[in-house]
Amino acid sequence: MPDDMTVVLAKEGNRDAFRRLYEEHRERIFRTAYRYSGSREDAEDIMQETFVKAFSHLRTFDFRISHNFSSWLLSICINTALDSLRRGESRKDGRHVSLVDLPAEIPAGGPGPEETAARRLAVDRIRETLRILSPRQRAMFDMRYTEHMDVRDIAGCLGCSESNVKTQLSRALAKLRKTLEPDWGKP
Amino acid sequence: MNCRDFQNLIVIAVHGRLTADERSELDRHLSACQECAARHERYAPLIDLQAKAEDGVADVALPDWEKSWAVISEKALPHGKPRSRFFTLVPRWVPVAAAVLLVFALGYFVGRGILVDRTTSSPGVASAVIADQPSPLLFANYADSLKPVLVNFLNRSDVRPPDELRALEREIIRDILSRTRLLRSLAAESEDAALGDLLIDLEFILTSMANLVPGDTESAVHLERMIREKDIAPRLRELASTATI
Repeated sequence: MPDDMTVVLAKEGNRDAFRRLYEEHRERIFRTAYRYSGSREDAEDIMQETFVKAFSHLRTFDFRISHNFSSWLLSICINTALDSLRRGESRKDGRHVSLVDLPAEIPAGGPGPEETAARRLAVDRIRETLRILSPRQRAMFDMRYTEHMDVRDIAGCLGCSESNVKTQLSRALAKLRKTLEPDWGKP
Repeated sequence: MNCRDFQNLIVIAVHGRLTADERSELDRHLSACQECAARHERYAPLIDLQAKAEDGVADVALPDWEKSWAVISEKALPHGKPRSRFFTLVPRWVPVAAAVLLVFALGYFVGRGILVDRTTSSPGVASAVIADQPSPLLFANYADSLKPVLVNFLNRSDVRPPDELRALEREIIRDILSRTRLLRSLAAESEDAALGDLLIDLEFILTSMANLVPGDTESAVHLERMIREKDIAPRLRELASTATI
């Protein structure tokens, strides 16, 4: 049964339809949540929160605005994960990280404990770099360049125009380019 | 795509994931562009890290789906009877808007009914006009009010009445004159030509009566003659029973 029909049935309160939507999308949502949190337990919490939010607000889902349920659910997941990260990050200091010198620091060795820890640190630094983006830019960047959602779907999920999404993505890329090389792009 | 676009793909590869198409396009460009290839080389360790982190995402142990479902269904799923298909497809604000509209419509029609009732219990042109519908009794009522005025004028004596009485007569004539004008507009709408002609004559006669200067016998006689020659009384009697308003 296609998603659209299942969503209509779920809107009517059909429990089987809710279950079907959950089974269809749970793995992708869990993996997306894990990509953000890096922790299996946190990813499970984010996944549950995503489905609770989506099912509680299913009546607000409009096929004319958000073109498919999958994208809509993913946008909820990304926003929930970012909120969760922000709650965690609010306890950290606000300085943002540059990746300029990082490539040289990454150990090229095998999978020893020290190398693994260093690599984990490097991944964390890459993730922290994304904090220079505004929450909206970050959500757009992740939807577009991590989850490969259409610009049209992103606009539908976030309630803005497609041109606004394109502008924000362009600004986000410009900011991130500077974390790699501050002079990149200058004449 | 130009070099700047491919440089953006490097940024995306560091912070996100490239699609298979983007990956192969980038590889093709890197084999032809030394500058972009040098940049890519510099950030290859970061890109590699992102790819490995992605592998970690793919390898992560999946949670206990049933346990999660129990939490989700407890928190989010409706517990009562499912909503019918009709109520699901109709947005929730529609019944509320319909209820408000119904209350408004009821208020309007009940209020209108009260106004119409008042018109019939207290006959008068003004209130009848408020009711916004020509009453079949309208012209008949008007004729009943007009007759004594005309009779009084035709049977007037040479004795000058007291000032208070003259003021009252003038007030009554003015009132009937204003009703005559209202009826004329209604007659024009109903396209009743005979009634329209009579009301034009009556408007002229009543205006003359209202402006009659005491002692101006000549004008009074002229007016009296006009009332008789124009057969005002018989026309009034006839139209009182046949008028469309």
